[in-house]
Amino acid sequence: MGALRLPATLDSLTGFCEYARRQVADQNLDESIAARLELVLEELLTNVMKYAYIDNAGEIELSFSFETQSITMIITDWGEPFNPLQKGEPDLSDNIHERQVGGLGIHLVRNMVDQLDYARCDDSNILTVTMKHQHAT
Amino acid sequence: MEFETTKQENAIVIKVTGRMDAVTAPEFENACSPHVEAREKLLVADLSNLEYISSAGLRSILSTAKKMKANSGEIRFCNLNGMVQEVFSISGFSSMFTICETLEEALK
Repeated sequence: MGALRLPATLDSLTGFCEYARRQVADQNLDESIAARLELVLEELLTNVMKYAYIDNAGEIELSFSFETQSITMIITDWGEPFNPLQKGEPDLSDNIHERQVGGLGIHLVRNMVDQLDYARCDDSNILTVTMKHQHAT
Repeated sequence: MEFETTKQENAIVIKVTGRMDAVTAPEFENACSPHVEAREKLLVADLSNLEYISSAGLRSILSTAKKMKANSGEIRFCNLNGMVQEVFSISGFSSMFTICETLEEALK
């Protein structure tokens, strides 16, 4: 399996999403998993873009592997140690006035994936995401 | 993202087409902003053609909702599809806002 490496800036988001769409299209997966996978990818990438590199001068690498019933997505950066899984649960109250604007991204990710792991290896942060799926009929 | 805005008797309806992601989300807030400033009391976002939304889109919506509420106004949503409905539900937006199945219902 190949990988895509792009600068860790918001300009790269479209490139990463198109790459993911191409990878998924080859697998003949159900439409709903494709949209969820894209959401998970965007949330994790924008987190890395915000927090990994202090001067924004770094790169992110994205790769996929496909099993019969699951997709694994690996996101790697070489920035500051940052584990998004340590973020607390967001404010889910239904009071518009009091509700905080941030923190929903990781909450959405947690609810849409089957497994999410963080590892710090040498100088890199590695996020490994696994989502189960069914092939489209 | 594209917006089609129509003025109804008691509301402004904004029909949203496209994707509300980290790149495009601020466009929604900008599209609503003149109506917030005009102190409109009811804004209805018709999401029938919204294909995708991420947390950046939710932030843009919440920010607009807070400004509407500060003017004693309200923003409602109708015609949510697929993943948009799922994201609203997981984030608690479905219970925070008035969500309607049709535009007619949202205008009542």
